Amino acid sequence: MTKGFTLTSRRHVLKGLAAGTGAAALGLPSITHARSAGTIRIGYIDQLTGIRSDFGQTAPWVVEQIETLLDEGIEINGDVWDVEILVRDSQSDPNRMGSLGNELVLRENVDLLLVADGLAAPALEICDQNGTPGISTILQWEPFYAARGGTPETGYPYSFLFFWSGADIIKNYIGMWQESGIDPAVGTFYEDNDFGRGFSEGMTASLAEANFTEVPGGIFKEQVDDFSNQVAAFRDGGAKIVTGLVFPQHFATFYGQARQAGLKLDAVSIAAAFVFPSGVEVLGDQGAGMSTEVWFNRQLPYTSTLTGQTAEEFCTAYEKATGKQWAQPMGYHHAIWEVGVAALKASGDPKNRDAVRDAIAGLEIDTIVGKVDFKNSPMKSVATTWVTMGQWHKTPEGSAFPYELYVTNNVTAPHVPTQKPFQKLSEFN
Amino acid sequence: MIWVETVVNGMLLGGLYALVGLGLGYAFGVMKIVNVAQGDFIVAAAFLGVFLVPWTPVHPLLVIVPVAIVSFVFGIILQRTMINRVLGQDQIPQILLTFGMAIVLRNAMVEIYGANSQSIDVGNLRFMGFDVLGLRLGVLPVVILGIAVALFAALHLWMRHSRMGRIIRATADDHQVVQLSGVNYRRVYGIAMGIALALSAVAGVLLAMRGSFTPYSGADRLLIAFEVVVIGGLGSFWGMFAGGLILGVTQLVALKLDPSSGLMWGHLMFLVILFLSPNGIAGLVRR
Repeated sequence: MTKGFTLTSRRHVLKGLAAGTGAAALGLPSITHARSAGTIRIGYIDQLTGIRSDFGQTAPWVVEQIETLLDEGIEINGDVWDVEILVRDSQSDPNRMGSLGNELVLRENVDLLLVADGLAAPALEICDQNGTPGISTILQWEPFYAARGGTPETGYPYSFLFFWSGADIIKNYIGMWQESGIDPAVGTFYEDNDFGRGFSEGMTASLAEANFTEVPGGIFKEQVDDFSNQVAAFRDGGAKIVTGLVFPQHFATFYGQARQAGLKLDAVSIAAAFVFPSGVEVLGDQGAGMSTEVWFNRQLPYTSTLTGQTAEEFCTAYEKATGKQWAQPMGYHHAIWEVGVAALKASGDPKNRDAVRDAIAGLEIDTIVGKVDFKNSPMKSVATTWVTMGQWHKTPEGSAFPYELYVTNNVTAPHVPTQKPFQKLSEFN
Repeated sequence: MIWVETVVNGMLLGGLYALVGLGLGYAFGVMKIVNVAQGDFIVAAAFLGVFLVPWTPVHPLLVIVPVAIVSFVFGIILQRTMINRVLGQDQIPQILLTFGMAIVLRNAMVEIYGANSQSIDVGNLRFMGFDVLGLRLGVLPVVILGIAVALFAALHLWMRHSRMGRIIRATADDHQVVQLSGVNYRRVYGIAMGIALALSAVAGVLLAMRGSFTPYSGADRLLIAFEVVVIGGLGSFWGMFAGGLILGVTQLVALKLDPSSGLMWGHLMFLVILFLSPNGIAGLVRR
């Protein structure tokens, strides 16, 4: 993989840099840097390859941007510290996550571990055991506690998380449908995996509570090529809304068959498929109006504490540099560095693990994804961030990318401004 | 009525499954070659289709023609430069060779196109439907079934009545003896592999129009192809076609009863038929 290769080679360069600073510490003159107080080692783990690599796609660019930025070092209490970043790829594999945690915490002896990966638990556990501060994101807080038997009251000694709640997502879905005035009949279907089954349980309970009629389409296996049964069930059950956790290729097949069968829907809100632009693009010109959860987009009124970029400038820079469209995880890929660097600065002594840990716990910072507040959080070790609902709209002719995502409903996060009103599917095209 | 609709949809899907199996069955029938890379060739052809669609005149559906031609030529080159070298009494080298090709192909596709799912955009055709006898059917699945039937019939007639068809059948019967009549069986094998890959390529493109695919879809496609060939019976075109239909209908009926374990019933049907008649449906009919 070229991705892995560039990262590895950059690592070599960094090792070279580290050796250079080591030489500087021995008293040799260094031309580029002022005499440094030492080197802070930061480990970074992300899902760069493997089945969940969609979520890590923007990370290499973000980390590169951070590396350039931290090349000058970080100033803490008047001392300039060099920064060495060790990037590792979890390959979307929990076993590898554990061994990477071991490698970075025990062997490389990092001062801070950052994990932007949904399966962070094994690495965070090693942080807690060894007393190394660890910050994670892109992982809902329910599994963050559940995975290692923690609770919001006890928290964890050295590991932290900032992200939104899985329960909020379902409140947002249902809240959006209620606000839209669409007939409350919801067809549901889910991938047969942990996320699909979890979403299914939560959704069924919440639909019943909110007096929606559920037309169940069941949980299906990954190898399925045909959704005519689900389409027939939704049509005969009078579903006006379709939801679920479905991968893009499955949804594309489903939607083709739904249209063939004359299934008329007012809203299609799918987790997973529509988080990324590629999931909408696979529908050809039928992607406008698809709705999903939004936790970062380019219209947000937030700026980075590290680069001063607005969300818009940040996304544009990414699109210019890579030729690819911005994607939601990139906000959090950046924010985890904002949180980490802010904590190191606030600690006063980046080599003092307990001081860094206390600095994270006392942090309240306005990042590119909005406020990350550990200080006033009612839950130990966790800062909750917002999640809203949004819809994909076609971009004007001549744009670089065919679709753009806008926030339409802010059910659980009224402080996030909506960007466009919610529209029924029939109002598109 | 809803059950009739399920069965009809199953047959529409099954026709395409039959086409997926045809290339594999044809290569095995003529050359006794098990092409383990079949599934990944199907996916590669779909990628080729995605690439060629913007240049296809009249209608995107016609992209199957250039893709089939490219695959035909590729099949001949593949057979003559690689597979012919490992043919012999032993089956293993040929299986290892195609297995290796499958791995190379899959990883090359991930490297070039990334792991995102892709689909061939056939415009509005994908979303059109029509009513017939109280049933609502999609236009595209019906067109795809039509193409599958036409290809089966064309191959059947060509094998039966053309000179080349006779030579291929004779080579399939005994590739040593045909050499006495001046037939270079290696050249015939090249053409047979070309045809096998062209058929698979059409199946791959049609699958990509009906649904979508990722570079990792090859393994699922190969499984379907094997099941179709085994259910249908080796060496019988219409047996394979029936095999595809049976697999498609079984899957959809079972998926209707239970969305999460439906696919298993397709595999069970495969086992039952293998148990009752090791030569598939064709063997059952012949007996």
